[in-house]
Amino acid sequence: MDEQELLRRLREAFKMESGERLASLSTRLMELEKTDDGQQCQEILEVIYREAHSLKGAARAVNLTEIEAISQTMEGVFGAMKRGEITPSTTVFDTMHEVVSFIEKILATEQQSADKDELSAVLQQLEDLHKGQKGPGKTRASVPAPQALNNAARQIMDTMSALLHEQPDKQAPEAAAHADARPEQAAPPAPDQVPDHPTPDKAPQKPKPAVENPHLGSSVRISTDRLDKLLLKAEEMIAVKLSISQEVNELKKLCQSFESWHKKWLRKDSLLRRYRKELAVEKEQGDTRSEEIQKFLDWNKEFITSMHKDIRVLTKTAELNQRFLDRKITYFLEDMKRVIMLPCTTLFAPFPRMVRELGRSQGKEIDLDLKGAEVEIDRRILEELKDPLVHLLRNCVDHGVEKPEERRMLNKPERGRIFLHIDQVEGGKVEITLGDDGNGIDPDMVRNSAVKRGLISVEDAARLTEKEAQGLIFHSGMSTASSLSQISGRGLGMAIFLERVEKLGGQLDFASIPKKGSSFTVYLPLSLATFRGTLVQVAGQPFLAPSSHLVAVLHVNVGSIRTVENKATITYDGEPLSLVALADTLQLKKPGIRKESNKIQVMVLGTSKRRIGFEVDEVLAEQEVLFKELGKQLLRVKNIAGATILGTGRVVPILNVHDLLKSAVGTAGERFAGPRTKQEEQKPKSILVVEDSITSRTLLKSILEASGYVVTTAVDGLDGYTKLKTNDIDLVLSDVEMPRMNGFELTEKIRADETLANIPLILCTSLATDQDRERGIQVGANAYIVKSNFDQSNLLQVIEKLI
Amino acid sequence: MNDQLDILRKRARELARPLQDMERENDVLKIVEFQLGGEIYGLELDLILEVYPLRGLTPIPGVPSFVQGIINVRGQIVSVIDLRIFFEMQSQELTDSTSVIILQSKNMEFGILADAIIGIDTIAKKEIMPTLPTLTGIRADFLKGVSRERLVILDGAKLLADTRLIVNEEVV
Repeated sequence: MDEQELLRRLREAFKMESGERLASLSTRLMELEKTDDGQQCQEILEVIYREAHSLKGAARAVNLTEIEAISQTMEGVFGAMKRGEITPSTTVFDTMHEVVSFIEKILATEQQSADKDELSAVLQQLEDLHKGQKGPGKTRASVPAPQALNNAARQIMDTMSALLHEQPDKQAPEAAAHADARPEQAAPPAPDQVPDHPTPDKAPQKPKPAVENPHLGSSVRISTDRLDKLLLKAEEMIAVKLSISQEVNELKKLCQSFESWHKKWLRKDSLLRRYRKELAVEKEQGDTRSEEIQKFLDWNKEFITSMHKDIRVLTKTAELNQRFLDRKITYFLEDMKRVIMLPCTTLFAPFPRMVRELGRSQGKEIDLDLKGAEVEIDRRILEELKDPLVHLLRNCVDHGVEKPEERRMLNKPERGRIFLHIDQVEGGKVEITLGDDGNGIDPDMVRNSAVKRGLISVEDAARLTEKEAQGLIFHSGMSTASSLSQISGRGLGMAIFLERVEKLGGQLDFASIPKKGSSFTVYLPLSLATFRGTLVQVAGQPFLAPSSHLVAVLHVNVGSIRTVENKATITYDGEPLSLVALADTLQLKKPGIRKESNKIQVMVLGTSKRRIGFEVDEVLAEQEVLFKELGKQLLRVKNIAGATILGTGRVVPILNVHDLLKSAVGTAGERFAGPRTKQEEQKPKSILVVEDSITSRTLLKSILEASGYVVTTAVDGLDGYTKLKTNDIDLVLSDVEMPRMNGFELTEKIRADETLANIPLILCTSLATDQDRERGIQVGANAYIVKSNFDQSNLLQVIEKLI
Repeated sequence: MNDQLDILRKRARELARPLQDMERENDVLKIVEFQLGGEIYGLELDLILEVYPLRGLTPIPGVPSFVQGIINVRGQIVSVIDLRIFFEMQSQELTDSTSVIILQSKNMEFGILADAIIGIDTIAKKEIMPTLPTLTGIRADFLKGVSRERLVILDGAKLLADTRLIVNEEVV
C-alpha cells in the first residue's frame, strides 16, 4: 500500500502530464512540418526538445524506465535536429509521430510498460535514426532520409502492431471479463487501428465510446483558486436566502396588520349600519354632506380590502418563491460542496512512507495501517487536518512506539503498528482514528511534567484522575518527550491540534492505556457546514455564538448562584459550573442589562475539555449564517472568530468559544492557566519548489512535506521569482530546464536581488555534465543535485545542511 | 489668395500650440481631500478602493481603540480605523457626514474614518514639499509631504504596510 500507493498516485499525475506533453509534441511536430521559416523552425524545435526532455525527467521520477529511455533517445534526435545534424523530412516526422503514439500506447496499458524486446527494437530504430543522419557529410540540404530511416519507421510500426496484437493476450483475464459487457472489444484490433484498451479499474463504469485520444477523459483539471472563488460565490447565495426569508416575514407582518384592521372595522360595522339609517333620514331632509362621508368610508373600506387581497397574493407568491429558492440554493450548495470533496488519499498518501522512514531513523520498525483513505472530505478540511495529523503521527513514532528490544521484553511483536482509520459515520460525519500499539501516555509522567512546568500544583496533580492527567497533554506548554528529539521539536503542539479540530466544528476524544497504546479519535463534518449560530444580546450588542459549542441555555434564579472561593458557580447537570458575565469576559464597557431582576439568562458554552456558563442579556434566536473573516487588518482578534451579516444587513461578530473559555479562566482565575510556550510557535521551514513538470513537482512536494517542510510550488523560473517576492521562503529548490526562465537564470536573478541574495538555493536537474555543474555553482547555487530516480535521502540531507 | 492661406496657416499654428499648463500624467498626483479632526488631509487616489458613507458600524470588543469596528461593504467585511486615535489626536463624535475611505493594497485592506470628504484635487508632484517640522509624533511617520496650499498629504502606502495597524492577538 504505502510506497506503492504513492507511486500509483504519482503515476496518475504523470499520465496526465505526459498526455499533455505528447499532445503538444504532436501538434508542434505538425507545425514544424508545415513551416519553412528557419527562425520559427528553431523556436518550435526548442519547445519540442524541452517537451521531450521534461517527459524524460517526469518518467524517471516515477520509475517508468521504458518511457524514460524512449524520451531520452527522442530528445537526442530533436537535439540533433536543433543542431542541424538531422534534416527534417517526411520520414523523420512519420517516425517521430509513430514514437509519440508508441509512448501513448504504453501509457494506456495497465502497468504502463512495454515488452522488453519490442522496446529495445523501438529504441534501436530511434538510435539508428539518430546516428544514420549524423554522417560526416552533415546533409544540410534536402537529401531524403536514407533507406535506414525508412526501415526504422517501418520497424517501429511493425513493433507497434506486434505490441498491439500482444496486449489483449497479456491482459487476457481482464479482456475476457470485458468480453461479455463489451463484445466489440474482444475482436482482435487491426494492426493500424487504435484499440481502446480495457482498463480494469474503470470496468464498472458504463461503456465509453471508443475515444481516439485517451486523454480526453471524463474529468477536467480546474485550479483550486477558481473553485474556491466559485464556492465563495455559491455561499453568498445564503445571504440572498436569508434576506428573502426576512422579506417574506415582513410581508407576513403586513398581512397581519391588515387583518387587525379588518377586525377593527367589523367591530364598528353595526355602528356604521345604524348611522346609515340615520343618514337616509338626513338625505330626505336634503343634507348630502354626510352621505358623501359615508361614500368615502365605503370606498376606503373597499380600497383597503382590495389592497389586503393584493398583499395576501403577493405574500403567497413570495413564500412560494422563497421555498423554491431555499430548496434550489440548498441543493446548489450541496452540489458545490461535493465538487470540492477529495478522497483522503490525496493528502494521506505520503504518510506510510513517512512513518516507516521516521521509524527507521530511530531504529524502530513501524507499519502504518491506513484504512478508509477513499472516504471523501472537503478539501479545506483535509488541508487543515494535514499538519495536525502529521504531528500526531510523529508523536506516535517518537513517543508512542517503543524500540524493538523494549517491545520484545513486553511480549509485543517487534514491529510497531500505527493505525490511521477513516470511517464515514452517520449524519454526514467522518471519524478519524489514529493511534499506536506503543507505550501509551503515562499519567504520572504527565503529572510530573505539568508540575515541573508550573502548570499545576503538586496537590492538584495528585487529585487528577488518570484520564484527566493524560488530558493535560492538550495543555499548551506541555511535551512529554523527556528528550527533545529532532522529531518532536518541530510542528504543532497538541493544544493547537485540539484547537484546529474544534475550529473545524469537530470533536476530539482519546484513550490511552499505559504500556498498551493510545488512540485519538477525531469526529469531523464531511464538509464545512454552513455555520449555525445562536444570536445573543450582550451589553445591548448582538453577538453570535456557534451552535456547535452551545451546550444549553438556562434561566437561572439569582438566588441559586453560589460563590465558591470568590467565584460564582451554578449547578448544571448535577455538577458545579463556573459562571461569568460575558460582558466582563469581552471587556465591554457597558454592563449587561437584565430583563428580570431575579432571573438571568445563561448560555453554557463548552468544548470537549470544559464548560463555562456565560451570563448574557438575552438569548434571541438560532439561525443559519455565513461565516466571514474580519478582513486583512484584523488577522486575529481575541474572543472573536469572525463575523456574519444578518438578513437585515447588520454585521454581527461571531464568538470564538475556545478563546472565551481561556479568557473566562483569566477573568475568573481558574487553575491550569499556563503561559503559551515560544517553542510551539516555532515555524516550520518553508521551501519553494520550482519545477515545470507536475509529476516531479508533486513528488518533491510530497517528499518535503512528509519531512515537515512547508512547500510552495512554482511552474517556472519567472513564477518562482514572483513567488519568492511575495512569500516567506527559507530555501529554493529549482529545476534547470524550464520554459520562460530556466534555473540558471533564476539563480542569477535571485543572487542579484538585494533582499534575496542570501537565500539558500539548490539546483536539481538531470543535466549531469561537469560543465553544467560548474555553471550552476558559478551563478550562485549552494548545491547542485543530479536527479536520480526517487532517491530522497541525499536531497533531504543537503536541505537539512542548508537550513 | 496667398495672403488668405497665410492667415489661415497662422491661425492654425496658433490654435495648435500645446497648452503649457497641461501636466503629464506622471507628474501629477490625484489627491482625495478630507477632513479629519478639524484639519484637512490628502490621500493618493490610487490607493483608494472607494469612499463609503459610514453606516452600521459594528464595534468589536478586545481590539485596540483605533479600530472602530467593522462594516458591511456589499457583503464583505471591512475593518474601520480611526486615524485620529492612531495619530493620538483629539477624537470626535461620528456624524452623518462621516465617511469611510477604503484603502487597499495587495496584502492589506481597511477603511479609515473621515469627518467629511472635500473632493478630489490634482497636485503636481514637484510642488509637494517635505513635511513641516511642526508635525510630530506618530503622524510624522506617515506624511508624504505638504502641498503649496498647505495640504498635508498622507502616505497611504506606508499606512497600508505598517504592522502597527495589524491586529493579531491570541488569548494568553
